[in-house]
Amino acid sequence: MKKFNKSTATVLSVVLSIILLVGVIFSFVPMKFGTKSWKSFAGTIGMSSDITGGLYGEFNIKTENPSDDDIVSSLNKIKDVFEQDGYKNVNVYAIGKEKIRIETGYSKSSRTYAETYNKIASVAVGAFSLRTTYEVEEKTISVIGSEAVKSVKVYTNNETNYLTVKFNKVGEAQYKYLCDNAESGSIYIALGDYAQQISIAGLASYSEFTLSDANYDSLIELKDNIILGCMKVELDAASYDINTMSASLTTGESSSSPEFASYARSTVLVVMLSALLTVVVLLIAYLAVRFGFYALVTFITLVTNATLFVIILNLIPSVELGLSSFVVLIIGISIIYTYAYQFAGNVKKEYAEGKSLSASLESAYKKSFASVLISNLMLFAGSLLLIAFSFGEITSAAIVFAICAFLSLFTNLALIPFIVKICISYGNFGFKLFMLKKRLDFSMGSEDADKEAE
Amino acid sequence: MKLKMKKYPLLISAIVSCVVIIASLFILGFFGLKVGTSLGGGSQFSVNVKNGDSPKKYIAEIKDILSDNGLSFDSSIVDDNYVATEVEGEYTKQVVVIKISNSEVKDSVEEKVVSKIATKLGIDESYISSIEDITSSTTGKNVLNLGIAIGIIAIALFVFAWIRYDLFAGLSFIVAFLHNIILYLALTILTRLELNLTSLTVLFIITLVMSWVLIAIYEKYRRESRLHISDKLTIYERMVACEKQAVKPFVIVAAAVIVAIVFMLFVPVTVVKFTALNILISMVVTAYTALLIGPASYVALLEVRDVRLKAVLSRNDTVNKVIKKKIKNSKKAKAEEEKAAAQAVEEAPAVQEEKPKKQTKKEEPKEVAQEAPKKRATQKTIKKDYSKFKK
Repeated sequence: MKKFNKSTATVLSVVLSIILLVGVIFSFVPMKFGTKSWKSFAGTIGMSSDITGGLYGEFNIKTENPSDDDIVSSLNKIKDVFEQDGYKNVNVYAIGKEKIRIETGYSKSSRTYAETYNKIASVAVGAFSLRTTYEVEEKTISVIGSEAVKSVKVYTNNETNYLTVKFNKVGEAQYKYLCDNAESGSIYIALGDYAQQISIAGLASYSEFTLSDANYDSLIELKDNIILGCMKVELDAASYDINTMSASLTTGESSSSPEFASYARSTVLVVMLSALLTVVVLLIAYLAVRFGFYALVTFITLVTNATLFVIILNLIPSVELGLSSFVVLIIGISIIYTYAYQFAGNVKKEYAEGKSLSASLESAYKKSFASVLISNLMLFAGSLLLIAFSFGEITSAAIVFAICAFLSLFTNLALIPFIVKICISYGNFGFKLFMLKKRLDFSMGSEDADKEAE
Repeated sequence: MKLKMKKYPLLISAIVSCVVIIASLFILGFFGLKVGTSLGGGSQFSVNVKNGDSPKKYIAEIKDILSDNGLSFDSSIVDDNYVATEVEGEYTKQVVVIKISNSEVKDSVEEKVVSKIATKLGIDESYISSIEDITSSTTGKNVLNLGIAIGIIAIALFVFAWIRYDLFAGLSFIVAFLHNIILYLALTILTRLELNLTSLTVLFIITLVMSWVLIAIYEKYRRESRLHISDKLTIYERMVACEKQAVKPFVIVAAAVIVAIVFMLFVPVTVVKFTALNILISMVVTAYTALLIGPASYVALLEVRDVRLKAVLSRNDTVNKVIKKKIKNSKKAKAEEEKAAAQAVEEAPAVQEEKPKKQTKKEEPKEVAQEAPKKRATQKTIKKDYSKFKK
């Protein structure tokens, strides 16, 4: 491991410190610039309802005596719509065969009470159908959404947004009959009692129909409404109950008011953060006792990692930290610093065998390189697979673990060696870093012999 | 005898694992799997909070009553209802929602529980809702998808270990991977802890961590085997030495995680306590699998391979010895014949001397020619086996 020049090392350490300081400020300190406010990256991390509380909605089921399969498929449709909008840890379940209850946090702290309220309220959208008359009459011919629709998709082509509804075989036959018998070619799209005349963008086949709109968001909203309108179980849009709920992981005293919705933290969050902090402090204290100033290097990497973690978490849309994510975070932090410990141990061992400090660092790095690379890549790939196949809070936890694996790779293969390299450029500080006694002899492997060789 | 001694750790751990798994199957048969409401549904009821009372007190009292009646408390939520305007008499807007893991609660049990809660909390029974079954949105398909992910990870690990180390390492990875999952589930059943989304997350992440520890050990073993090929250490001894060196940092980290678990155990929320116990169990299972099952099965497989190779080599040695003996015998016979011929030459007239000489010259190449291909084949197999062994 080659040293830097003292001047280069100084410049690098100053640059690194400035970057780190700016990163830490923007990541953890909320600020105000005139009328605009900056919540900090950490402040905008999404928290799930088990930690922060949120809103619940209870809807009465209109359909008489629905089957269990119909209920489960409807619950999944609601869950999909919420998850696609970023509410990853939404909890949807049926109470008997009479009610469906939705429990969710605010997902991102930037979301308001009203936004989440409207999202929940939109679930009781009414049944989706295509029909030949504005109001349901005797002569009305309909395509019933829950029987006919296979999938709904929104896409953009040549700067025009499209919504395509694909039919299954039943739907195809119904739609063909509707198109053939529509009076003056008018087709109405209906969600419950509310209907609207539509013009279909090119009738290529009877297996699907396509709508176009300049506004992408309104098409997305319509897509969600069609999906919810196609549920096998119809919900009563006239009477539902939406209100605030406390975090499920509270001892009972915590509550979330709409005014302070995103800031209502449960005692569990405090405990989990304390646990996380204790793990970190203990690891650093142990490293300080065992290796001296190397603990300082670890502390710097820890601050860097914390900053990177919150920034990456903000870059990934719709991650909600819940209890599982905090548990995984504790394990992830431990993984990052396992190799940091191993590296320092190897340096000490190599030095004791008679190698110079630079040679010991080089050898220790080489020894752990393959192990760090392979094991962390395995963890990263495994987490990605879990993300691809999992659901709900497991996905969020797997994302947290993938970030930890990535940070472990970065810390152990790049960051720690880089900081150590800067440190050893300052002569004796390199020895203090690992609590090594400087050898004064001129025998092979001493520092002077090393200089001569250089 | 030595080999048997070395196999004991694997044998003992295999027996322990089998006992735990069989015991858990019995428990599973008698009491069933305890699944959380987030995974398998359950039941739910709600209680309105009276003015001046705290939801915290309600949750604590209800928990006790439920457990006295054989129902298992899953979690609770307080519906704060901040935006509600209607408040009924002496009751607040707050409603405590209690979730139970049991489904299809009998009417008699429900009546008993509701009346006990009303008496204990001093509230009207009409402010306690009936206990209704709840259906979770988590389906078998979701769990199947997770199973597929785990299967792919296991196969990927097997292929990776086969390429990086050898086939036996790959096999030991599969054994350890499956063992970790099965034993964790078995211990969860035995301890009657609830299986929910959080415990599933812990299981999958900790299984990845187990593979991570195994990689660290195998990497160390691989490097040591290459660097110190001349050492007279056996496979078992080398593996144990590598394990000791590789595992040291993990012990320190595990200690730190245990501190976090202790923190979690002090949180007066059932789910958090259960999660802490889940992490503890998973850590024990991971340590047990990564230190005993994984490396031990790898060593056992390598030793079985070595024993078989040695057997092949010794079998080849025996064949070699037999051939050598035959050649030696034939040489001896030839020498004796030559001796006899020489004696005959001395005794017989000059013309008759040539005949036996010609005969012996013709016989000698026949014998050697018969043995030569056999010898060459044997030498080839020995060379092949040796190169395999060397690899």
